Amino acid sequence: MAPRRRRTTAALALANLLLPLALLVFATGFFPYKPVLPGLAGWDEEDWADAAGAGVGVGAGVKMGEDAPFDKLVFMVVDALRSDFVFGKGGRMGFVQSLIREGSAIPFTAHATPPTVTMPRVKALTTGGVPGFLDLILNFAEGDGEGGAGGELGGVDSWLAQLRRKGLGLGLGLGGEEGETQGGTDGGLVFYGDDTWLKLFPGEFFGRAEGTSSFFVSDFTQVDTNVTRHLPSELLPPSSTKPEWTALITHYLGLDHIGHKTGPAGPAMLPKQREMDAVFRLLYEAVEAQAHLRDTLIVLVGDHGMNAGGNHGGSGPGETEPALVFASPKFASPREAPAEPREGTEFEFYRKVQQSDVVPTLAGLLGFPVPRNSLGVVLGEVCEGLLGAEGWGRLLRRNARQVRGVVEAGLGAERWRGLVEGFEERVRKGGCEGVADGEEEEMACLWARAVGLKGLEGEAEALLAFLYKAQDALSSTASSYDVPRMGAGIAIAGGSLLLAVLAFPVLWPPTLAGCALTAVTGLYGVMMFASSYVEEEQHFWYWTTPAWLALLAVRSLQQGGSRLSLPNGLSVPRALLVIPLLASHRLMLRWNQTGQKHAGAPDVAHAFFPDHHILMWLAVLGTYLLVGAQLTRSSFKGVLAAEAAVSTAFVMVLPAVVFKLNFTQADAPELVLGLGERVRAFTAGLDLVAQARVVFVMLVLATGIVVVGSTWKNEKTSAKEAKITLADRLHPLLTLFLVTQTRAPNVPLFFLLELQRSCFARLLLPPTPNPNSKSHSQALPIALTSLLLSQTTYFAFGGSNSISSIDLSNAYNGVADYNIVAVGILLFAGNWAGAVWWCSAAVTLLLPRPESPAQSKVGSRAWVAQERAKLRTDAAGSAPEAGGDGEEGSSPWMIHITATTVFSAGSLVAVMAACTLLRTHLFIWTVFSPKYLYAMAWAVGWHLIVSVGLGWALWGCGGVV
Amino acid sequence: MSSTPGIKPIPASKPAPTPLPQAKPTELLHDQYSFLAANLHPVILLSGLALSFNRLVQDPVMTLARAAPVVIILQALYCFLCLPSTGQAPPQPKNKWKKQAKPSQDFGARAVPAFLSLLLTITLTIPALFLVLIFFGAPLTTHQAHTILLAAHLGLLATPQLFYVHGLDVRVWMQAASLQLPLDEVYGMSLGAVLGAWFGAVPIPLDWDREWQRWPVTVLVGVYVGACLGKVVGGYLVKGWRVKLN
Repeated sequence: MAPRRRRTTAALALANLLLPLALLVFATGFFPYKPVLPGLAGWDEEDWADAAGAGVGVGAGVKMGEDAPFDKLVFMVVDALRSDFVFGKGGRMGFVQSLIREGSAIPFTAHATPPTVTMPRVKALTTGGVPGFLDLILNFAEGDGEGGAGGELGGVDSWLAQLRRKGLGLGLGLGGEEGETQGGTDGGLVFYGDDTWLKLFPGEFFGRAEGTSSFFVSDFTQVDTNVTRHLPSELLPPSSTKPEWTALITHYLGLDHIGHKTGPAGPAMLPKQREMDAVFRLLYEAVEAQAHLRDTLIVLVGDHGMNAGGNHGGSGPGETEPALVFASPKFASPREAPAEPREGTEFEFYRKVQQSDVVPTLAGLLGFPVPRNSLGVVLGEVCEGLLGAEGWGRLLRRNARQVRGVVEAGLGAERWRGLVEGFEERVRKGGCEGVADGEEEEMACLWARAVGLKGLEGEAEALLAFLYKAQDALSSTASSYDVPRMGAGIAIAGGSLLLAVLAFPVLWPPTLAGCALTAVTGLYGVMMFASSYVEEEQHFWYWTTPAWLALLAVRSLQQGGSRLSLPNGLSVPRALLVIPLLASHRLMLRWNQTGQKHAGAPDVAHAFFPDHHILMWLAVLGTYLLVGAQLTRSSFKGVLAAEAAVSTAFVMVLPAVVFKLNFTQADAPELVLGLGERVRAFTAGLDLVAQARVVFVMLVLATGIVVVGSTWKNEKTSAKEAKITLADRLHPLLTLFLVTQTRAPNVPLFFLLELQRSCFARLLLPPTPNPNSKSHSQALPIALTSLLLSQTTYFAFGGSNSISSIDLSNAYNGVADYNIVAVGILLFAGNWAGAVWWCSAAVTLLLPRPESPAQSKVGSRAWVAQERAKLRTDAAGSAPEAGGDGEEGSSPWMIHITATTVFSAGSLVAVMAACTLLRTHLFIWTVFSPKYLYAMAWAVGWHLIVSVGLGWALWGCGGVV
Repeated sequence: MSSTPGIKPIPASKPAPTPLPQAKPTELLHDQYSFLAANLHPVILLSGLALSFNRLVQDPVMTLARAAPVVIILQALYCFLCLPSTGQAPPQPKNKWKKQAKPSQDFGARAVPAFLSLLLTITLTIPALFLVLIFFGAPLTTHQAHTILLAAHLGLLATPQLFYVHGLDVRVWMQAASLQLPLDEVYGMSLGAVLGAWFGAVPIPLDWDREWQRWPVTVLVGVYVGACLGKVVGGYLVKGWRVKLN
């Protein structure tokens, strides 16, 4: 038996080691690293040569870039400013609309490529590059609220860096830049708004700056007034206290907060649009009136839009279509301002451009080299009129040369030259239609054509053709998948799956739970290939879980055996426990509406509780009471004297409740509405960070007391006295931690979870022990149960496979300074609270629980103790004879982990295969890539760290009874 | 077997009830009409479903409500024509006039249990199945009429034949609930209807945006197809098998 056991352990360990390897290998093929060209772009020889003809440059009197129509920029970002808020008839930005009609403002619908969250969008708007999907992880891994620092842009070329250099009169190149600063902040950049920018451009990048944090989305006003209050003084003529700026950047968060909180039709939305319109008017009228702002360009831009539910992150029509407006009294091209979007679109009022197009356009209008990594194409509507035909042509050539640089960097200069030379002859005879084969050749051909037409008619058109082709080709990452690597990732995950399956001590004959696990894994795998099932994954778990519960009940009926005695002396079959299980399951799945199809439909947390907030708080308090009772009855039982246990539990739960109340007041005041006013007033002196720390410190102390106390006590007590496993003792402490990491409306779910656990403890008991049967182990059914319920609760808590459903609100509990490890743990615990809880619950279900005499008296538990005692003696007695193939060879925990490994590996194989086969699918970046990220989180966070790591620790603690 | 009424009731007060004899698969009545009717039954059900499918998608409540009496009659006829009524009368006084099942049962002995079976279906199983449907995820705050009618059709397809053949013995019903009855066309039809209802929920989340994805069309189709499939499979392919969950 021993060698076999060692073999299965080795196979299981290897299977789990292969999982992260598979994830890594696949990810490097799926999310290829995009090289970023370092350094700032300068004027090159071709620019000089081009400009010399126009009387600008070294020889002439005018310096490069000084012929530009503008020398100052006001860049006003309004978070989540969807097109229709500005242009539509339902919008309230009348001043902007009037400017559009007059011709002083030039509107666009700017396409925001997914992921539509702030940080990657700011990157695109400033550098002109297309942020890779990995930026998204950085957005959450490092950001707070609506954004964060994912790879600083301080050293990457952007219009900010270019303007800063121009304004401060710095030399070319990045080296020794700070030393060359002339006169402090004169002519530098000024920023007010979302502190994402300050993380992207850290240090002394901005001359003056004040960041606002978007921590609580319930803040509709403060985040914006904190920006606006700086504007009047910034618009005054420069003074010694406020030196001149080259660019004034503002980023307003209020509109996005309103969207998140109340949706695009919320009551605060229209007043906020009017407020933004007033800010824009303030800026525009200052530019009109003040001499020193004469050459100032105003850009109004939304970083992304929002969907019908007010959220963003994905690729829905509303999310990807923010507004973009260039405004200045110098523009004069009156146009119709349609109140309705174009036929067949929801949010396209004007020409649809890319957000990155802002970057070369600014380069042309403000006279600086186009930033190196930009994939933008200059906007003719804005530039052509002001620059004149010659200037426009020069700008187009500059833009095209810069994009060629990006293409060359990707293909290699040699290869590119070869391709272009190959086409030079052929394009003279005609266009590129049908000549080129593949995107690279097409780009080369268009470039060759544009070069050939230099100075001739049709050059502008040819350059634009090249630019749009290159933008299209370089933005889509389809060409840069590393398919062999992706295949290797799948193969490694497949190997892990095979090893995990072989690690089962018994494969034949199949058990009910074994068949069910196979079916669940298989169906889940198939499901991963359908985008709508990935979006609506919760339905799969809501569908399979009741069926499994029913099967458990049927099995319990078939096995007969012991019945459940009720307090009134009657007894009923254990199978009836399925009724509270099903009822609580049904209630949970309506708790939070999730998925895409019915997003925003009424549910308990969002529709019922806001109207019945007192009921919600009663349920929340009831849950805390239950946790307190558990702390007293299991965690501290025997470790502390009864009175001390009660008071300790009280001292632990009270700060947790107070923190929850204060946090909810800050995060969702509509759920508090004046409740507990005196409590809140009393604790107002202590900030939320300190309050959370109090809760966490108490938890750590209590854990220490319980571990030390129960170990010490165990040495003294005899076998007959009441014993509670350490895993049982730690479970309530973990529950309290997870409750702290959960939003108030979801807290009562833990009450239901606890109800489910106690039902399972009775339903999943082994049937009448039979020493000859190898199937008496309940490990596999428990594993499947915990798997199904982990997934179910994840979705019931509001989780989904969409990036926009990640809940950041509790990720900063007790964290004052940014700490990636702490925030990561808190973020995971907050979003996977139910799934983590079930890992611990599964261990408590798995452990052979010695029953205390006191508990045995409860009657319903008496037979439990008898059966378990008998089971243990049977198992001990039969193990030696059981031979090499008995389940007795492996501990229940090993079987449990084998089962979760099989599911994790199987689901990874399926997700990876789906991402590989569907890599050209329309939804690859919106559905399948986020699903892969979630699969990574499930495999590493839930399976490896929590299920295997924490579970192992708790299982080991089980020995200390 | 005599045709006298009054079957001895199962003694309820006995301390150790006699172990239930191993249930045997139900056999159809031995006449050609029974055979014909039994095989026509699924054909009629499925073609009825196919014919009213468009109306079902347009107006599920009305269509299901109108179809219910027809299904009641169909199921009553099926029980009446094809199945042997319960061999052992349950200890129910109202059943005392019922005749025992045998090929040459007279009209009343077959009509009364058929009527009772449907009465019990409507009063007992349909409310219970409504709860089960809710537990398995049917909408609770909306579409109540839809779900009640779905429960009605599920109950009508899954239970009258069980009442008719097995009576009201709690132990037999426990066996039925715990999948311990041998498979036959009666039990197969019941299991098929229930399983079909479960599988019928699969297409609902797909983003095809078809009218027929609306509640409860797919589940209802699942019930009908499952019942007919279960009946044929249980009656012919796996007759006499028992489901064993270790």
